[in-house]
Amino acid sequence: MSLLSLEGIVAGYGPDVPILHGVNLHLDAGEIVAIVGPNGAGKSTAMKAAFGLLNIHEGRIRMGDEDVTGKSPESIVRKGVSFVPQTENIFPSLTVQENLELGGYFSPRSHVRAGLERIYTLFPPLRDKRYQKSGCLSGGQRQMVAMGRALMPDPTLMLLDEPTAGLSPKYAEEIFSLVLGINANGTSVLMVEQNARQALMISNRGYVLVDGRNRHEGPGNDLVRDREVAEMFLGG
Amino acid sequence: MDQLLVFINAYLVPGIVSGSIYALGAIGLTLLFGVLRFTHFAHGDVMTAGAYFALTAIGLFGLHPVLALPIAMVCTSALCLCINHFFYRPLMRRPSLVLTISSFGIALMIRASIQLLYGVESHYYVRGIQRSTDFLGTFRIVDRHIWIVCCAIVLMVALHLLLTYTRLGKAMRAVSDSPELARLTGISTLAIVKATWVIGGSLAAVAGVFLGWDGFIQANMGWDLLLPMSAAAILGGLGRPYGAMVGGLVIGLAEELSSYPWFGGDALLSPGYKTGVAFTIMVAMLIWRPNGLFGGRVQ
Amino acid sequence: MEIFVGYGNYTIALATMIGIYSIMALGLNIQWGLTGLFNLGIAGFFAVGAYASAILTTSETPKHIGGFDLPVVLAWPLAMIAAAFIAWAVARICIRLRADYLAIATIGIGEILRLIFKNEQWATGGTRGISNISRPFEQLPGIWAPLAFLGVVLILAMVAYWLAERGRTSPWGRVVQAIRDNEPAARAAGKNVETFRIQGFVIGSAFMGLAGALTAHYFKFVGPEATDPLQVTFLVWVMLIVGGNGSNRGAMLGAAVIWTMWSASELFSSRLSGDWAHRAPFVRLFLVGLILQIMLQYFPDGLMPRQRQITARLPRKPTIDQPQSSHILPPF
Repeated sequence: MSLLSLEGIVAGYGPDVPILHGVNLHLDAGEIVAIVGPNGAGKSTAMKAAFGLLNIHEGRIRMGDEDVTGKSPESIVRKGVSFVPQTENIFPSLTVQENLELGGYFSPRSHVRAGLERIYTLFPPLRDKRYQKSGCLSGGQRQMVAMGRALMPDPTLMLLDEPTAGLSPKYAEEIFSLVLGINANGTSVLMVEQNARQALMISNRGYVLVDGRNRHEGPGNDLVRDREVAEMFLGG
Repeated sequence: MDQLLVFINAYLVPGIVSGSIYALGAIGLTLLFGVLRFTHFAHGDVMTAGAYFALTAIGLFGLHPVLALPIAMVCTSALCLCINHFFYRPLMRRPSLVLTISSFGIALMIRASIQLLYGVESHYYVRGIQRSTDFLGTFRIVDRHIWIVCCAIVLMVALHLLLTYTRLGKAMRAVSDSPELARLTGISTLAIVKATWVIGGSLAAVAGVFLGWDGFIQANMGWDLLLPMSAAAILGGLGRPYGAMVGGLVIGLAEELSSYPWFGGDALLSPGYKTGVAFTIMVAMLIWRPNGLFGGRVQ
Repeated sequence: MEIFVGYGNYTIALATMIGIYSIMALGLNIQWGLTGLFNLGIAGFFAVGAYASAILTTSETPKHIGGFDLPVVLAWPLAMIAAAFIAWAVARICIRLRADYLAIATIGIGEILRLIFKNEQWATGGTRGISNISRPFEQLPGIWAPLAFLGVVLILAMVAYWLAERGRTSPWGRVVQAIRDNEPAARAAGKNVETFRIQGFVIGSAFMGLAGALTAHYFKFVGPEATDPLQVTFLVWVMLIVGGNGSNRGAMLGAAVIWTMWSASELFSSRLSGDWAHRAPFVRLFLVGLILQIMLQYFPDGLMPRQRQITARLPRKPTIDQPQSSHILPPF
């Protein structure tokens, strides 16, 4: 049974004008899955739909054997799913530690303490900066805070919306290796990426969306090698 | 020496007292702005409601004004939650200025209800001459002023502890920073909004009781304070509770000290224009530092 | 027979006040409905107009400055200019800031003006105000005097409506509405947003000044506490929201409906006995507040919604890829 599955999703930001025209995707426990595609293909939209942020016009969203279509983000978070938005993904006037603590907002206190320790081991630079305002950090460190916040409840599934956008290649590299590390600890990852080639390389499977519809899917490495996919947007 | 005594007793102490009252009101205003993103124009009238709740309690049970505070806080919080539920919540999805118009209407509705129930005349918590305490043998400070300033300090420290160390406080600051992300994190904004109304309403109630205790209780008292309170909130930066504390004190002191005869025998500014001081400071801030002293959330 | 004269006088008084309030509601519609500017200091601009015209038209007296003895044809435009000038000063400072700041600043300016009128006895007569203001056509016999003044008010209200409507459909009106709907796009189209906003605010306030001048001459008196300033501001807002924000005809309809209700309830409450006669005004104020809330929640377009065909000429921001956060996530 899939951890998450989107079945024939037609959805948009309002009650009319759909952006997704029937997207299907699924993710099994332990997988890293990448959604790639050209600008405006509805990649982020598909992810937001899964997290209950959109008006679903048609189709079903399931988590395990439960139908979560139309559920609010608050209730989806409580099912062990975390979402890291592309922008505005930290609370800038709060300290690093406070940001992380809020990630464990609905977990018991002992969990929060253990979680902080786990995050600081995963992102050592954050330990030194824990009492600093997160708004003063660099872009890469902000991304760490955002991912750390999402990892605090020890989620079974993490949704990452363009985690490397605006970061230098060196930092992007680091984020990708972190994703692998997170996955090795047992969290499944669904990510939307502009750095399609790198993202597909580390993913078990990938989906190519075009104009709000599925175009290709398959194991990450196969998609990187696929000629049509490559010509379309991997830059040859 | 006499000059100094007059300065302290007639200008400095009243300035600190009204500064504390403004600060309590401005904190509520600024917290509500942070969480709900609108200026609550009924905040002054919520204060008035608090003052009248205490008046009722004092009338029924013959309490000391300080003992009436908890009753006023609970009743005012309940009033705020009701107003939020019936009038503001249905408008949450609309542009925030619609909420502002609505709150302006609520201000008049609260005031009309009070005038209907209690009439337009002034009321007093305590009648007669007030006890006072001597300090260092020379300063004579009225007891209620000591109470007011001490209670205000206690409440502000309590608020500071709440915002810094509790889960609720952190969540409130998070919602104030970014409501969208707070929701993605699993923070129930509805609960935070309610908590903010309880805190803002309680502090407003205390401010109202203190204002009535220091002078008299009248249906217009709260609306007249809206301007200095907004000025205090803007001075400190909208959305910044600590800024509002400082802003309140600055406005209170500036208002009182502006009528001190700094040069020669005449008051620097006729006391009739006291309200103008808050406005002038606010306009000056809007021109030179619209984000407030500590940075706020202006677009 | 006498009862008919009574009803006649009442109807004339009602219509006169509706005309005056229509002018204010039209002014607010230019500010809020068209330009999207929040003004809670309506009573302040109203008072500026009232005092300006009162001072300019009265004869020499020791009670306040004056002795200009100007005719109203000159004094009323000057009253409008006075209100417009104050509005210009406020707008210059606050127009760039969030709308809430403008609202607070307009409350402040209303308050300061009230303090000045109350405290500066040499100029304004202080709390006693200015009396013996002349009313045009008051020398006419019997019912003709109020009727002639009503005629003047209605003509001015129609002129105000015509101007507001011309303004709304003119290129200027299209720009201010585009600014209200989508400021970044208007800015990108090269429009000087601040200038247009200041113009909208100043014109609206001039209307309010005219209404103040008319009221001063109608009551032949003006004073700092003559009317509760908050009540005037509030009523004009309710009129606009009830009538239909953005629609000039709606503003006038709202003025007629709300003022008729307001005035009729006074007629009703004066029949009440004893204690309730004192309390009735507060019930009335509460109910008008409730009407405002109901309109905001259930009928946001008012009785006469604005025509939408000319708005949104400027391209809207593309909302597909980067939707504004409020679209995905209304925070509450």
